[in-house]
Amino acid sequence: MEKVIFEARAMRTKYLESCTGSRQPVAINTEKFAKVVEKETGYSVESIIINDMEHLRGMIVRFPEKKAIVFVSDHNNDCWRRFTFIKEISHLFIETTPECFNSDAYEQAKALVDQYQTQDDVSDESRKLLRAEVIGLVAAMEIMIPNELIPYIAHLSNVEKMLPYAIASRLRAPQKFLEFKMRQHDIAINTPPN
Amino acid sequence: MNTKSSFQQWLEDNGAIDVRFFPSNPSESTATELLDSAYKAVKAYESGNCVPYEDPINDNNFFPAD
Repeated sequence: MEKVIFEARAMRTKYLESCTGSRQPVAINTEKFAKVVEKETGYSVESIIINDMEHLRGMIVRFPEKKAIVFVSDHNNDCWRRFTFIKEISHLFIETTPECFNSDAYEQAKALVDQYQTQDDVSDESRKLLRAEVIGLVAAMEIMIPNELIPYIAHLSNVEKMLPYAIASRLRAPQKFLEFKMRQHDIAINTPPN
Repeated sequence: MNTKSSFQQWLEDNGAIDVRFFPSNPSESTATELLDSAYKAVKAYESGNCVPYEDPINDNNFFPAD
């Protein structure tokens, strides 16, 4: 995963150079980030919000000649919607060669649910498909909650005693991934008073 | 034709070379339900029943430590 983190950080740096004068925002603008990805990769991306997409947070479909459509579910709240969008966009600059691609939708879907619902050993092919999803999550976490924000997050939690929900709202990122990052960096996670 | 093959057929008909899903709740959903949602999404897209993704977040909100 080190290569994934490296690629994600490199793309975030390009976004910062292009959009914020290399200063670190509390929350990136994901739409502008996608424009940077399009410029850097040569992809033409259509990004849409879909109402009727109950079982998926999002999906990306790639086509020849570097065209892609990103679908994001309207059921997500704002933080999840942004995270989902970045996760899907990240596939474009991390999985860049045809051997990374998968056009078997059923195998992809089955691998995703089987990891939770079966005790059987997963096949090498399933493992490869799952890894592709983890890659997207790792990249999105690195882009939306980078290490540069860790001192700020620690300050909000340790000094201002903010609850993780409030910090996540400020960062416009899902609480689940914020808490993951906080645990990674040994930042205390406050709990609501009884 | 079931929903699974409908989405796969759509991918093939449209020349798709790669697809990735982000399930809402993979411990509860079935593979078929994921594909059903995917198919509904592409049909909604084709019928224009969707809106462009937008992010109104102001990225000039720099954190104090910067």
